[in-house]
Amino acid sequence: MFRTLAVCALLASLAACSVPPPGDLVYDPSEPANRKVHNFNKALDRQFLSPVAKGYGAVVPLPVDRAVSNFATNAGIPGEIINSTLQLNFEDVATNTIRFVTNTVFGVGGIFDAATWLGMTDDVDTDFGETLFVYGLPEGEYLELPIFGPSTERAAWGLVVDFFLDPFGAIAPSDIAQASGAIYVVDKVGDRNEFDSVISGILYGSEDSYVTARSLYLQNRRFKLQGGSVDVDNLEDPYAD
Amino acid sequence: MRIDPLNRRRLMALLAAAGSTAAARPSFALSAGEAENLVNALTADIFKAINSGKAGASLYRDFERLFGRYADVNVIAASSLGVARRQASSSQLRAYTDAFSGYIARKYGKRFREFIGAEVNVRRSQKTQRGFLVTSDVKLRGSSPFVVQWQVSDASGRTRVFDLIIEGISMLRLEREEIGQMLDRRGGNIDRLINDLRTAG
Repeated sequence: MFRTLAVCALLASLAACSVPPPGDLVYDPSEPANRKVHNFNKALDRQFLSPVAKGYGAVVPLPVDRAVSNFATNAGIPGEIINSTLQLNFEDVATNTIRFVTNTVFGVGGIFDAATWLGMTDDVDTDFGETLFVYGLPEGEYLELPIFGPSTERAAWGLVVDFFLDPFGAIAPSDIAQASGAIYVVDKVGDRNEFDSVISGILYGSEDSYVTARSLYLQNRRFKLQGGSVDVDNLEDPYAD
Repeated sequence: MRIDPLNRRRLMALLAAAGSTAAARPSFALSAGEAENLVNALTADIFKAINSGKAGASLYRDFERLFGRYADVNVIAASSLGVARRQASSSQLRAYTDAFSGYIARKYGKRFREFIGAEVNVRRSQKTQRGFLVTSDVKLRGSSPFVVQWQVSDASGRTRVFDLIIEGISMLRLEREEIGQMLDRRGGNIDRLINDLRTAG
C-alpha cells in the first residue's frame, strides 16, 4: 500500500529526463512543485517520523537496531549485484556476492554482519539510477519526492525500476520476503534516529531547508557517481572573479 | 591574455606592495607539505577548542578566531555573496564579511560537538589551479570514515584554506546557494541580510 502510493506519486511527477542548459549547477525548473513536496515531507517528519524515531531510539536496544540495519542492508544486496552486472562492474559484483553469501549463511539470514567481522570489504552501494548514469543518461531535473526526499529525474526512474526488480523478494522464502518490506521501513526509522542531529540540522537549522537539502543531495550524489572522488578540474574557484 | 615578463614582474611588485588580499594569481611558492601542515595545524586547534570544555558563545568566539587565522575569510565571504557582491559597497562588504564570519562560527560551531573523539588523517594532496586539494579521512566514534577535503591556496598572499568539501559537498558552494536564497528573500537588500546574519546561525 505504502509502496503503491509512493510509486504512483512518483510516476505522476515524472516525464522523460530533460537536459539542463550547459553549465547549470542546479537545474530545478519545477521548484514551486518541489517546494510543496518539501513542505509535505517536513511536516511528515515533524509530526510523525521524528517523534516515532525518538521513541524507537528510546525503546529499541542497540543490538536489535543493528540486526534490523544488517538485515535491510543484506536484503538490498541482490538488487545491487544485478545493477553492478548491468554496469559491467564485475569487481563490485564479486564483492557483493561474497558478502551476501557470507552474511546470509554465517550471519543467520543477514541479521549479523559476519562479513565485516571476517574483515571483508564493505558492501558496494549502487542502484538503477547509477546504472542509468553509467549508460550515459543525463541527470535530468532536480526532484523532491514525497517520503523519499531529494532526487533527480534519473534517480527517480532508478527507484521505480529497483522497486519492481526486487530480486530479494523473488529469491527469499515468502514469509521473509513479506517481512522485508516492513524491516526496510523500520530501518529507515532507525536511520532517522541515528542521524538525528544531522537531519534536524538540515531541516530545522537553516533558514531555507529546501535549498540546503537540494545542494547537499546534488553535490553528494554526483560525488558518489564519480566513484567517491571530486573532479579536480571542476573545483570551486573564488579567486577567479 | 599574455602578460610579458617585464610587465608581469612590475605587476607582481605592485601586488606585493599593496599586500593584495583578493587578487587572482597562480600559486608560486606553496608546496604540498605546507598545505598539509596547515590542515594538520587547523584540525589540531579545532580539537583543542572542542576539548577545552568551553561551550556556547565563548566556544564560537574561539572558532571565529580560528576561522580568521586559517581561512581566507575575505575571499570566502565575497564568494558567498555571489554576483551580489558587485553591487555591494566596500563598507557593506566589510560589514558583511564580519557578520558572515560570526555566522559561520556559530553555524558550524554547533555541529563540531559531534567531532569529540574523532580522528582526522591526512591521506594525500593533489595540485590544483589555485594550490592544493588536501584529502583526509575523518573517523567519528561509531561510524565508518568519511572523506573531508580542503582546498588550500596562497593566492591572497598567505597560505589559507578556502573551501571544505565533505563527501563531495563543497561548503563554499553550499553557503553561496544558501546566502543567495537569503538575499532573495530580503528583496536583494544587503543591509538587511547583514543585520540578520549577525544573529543567525
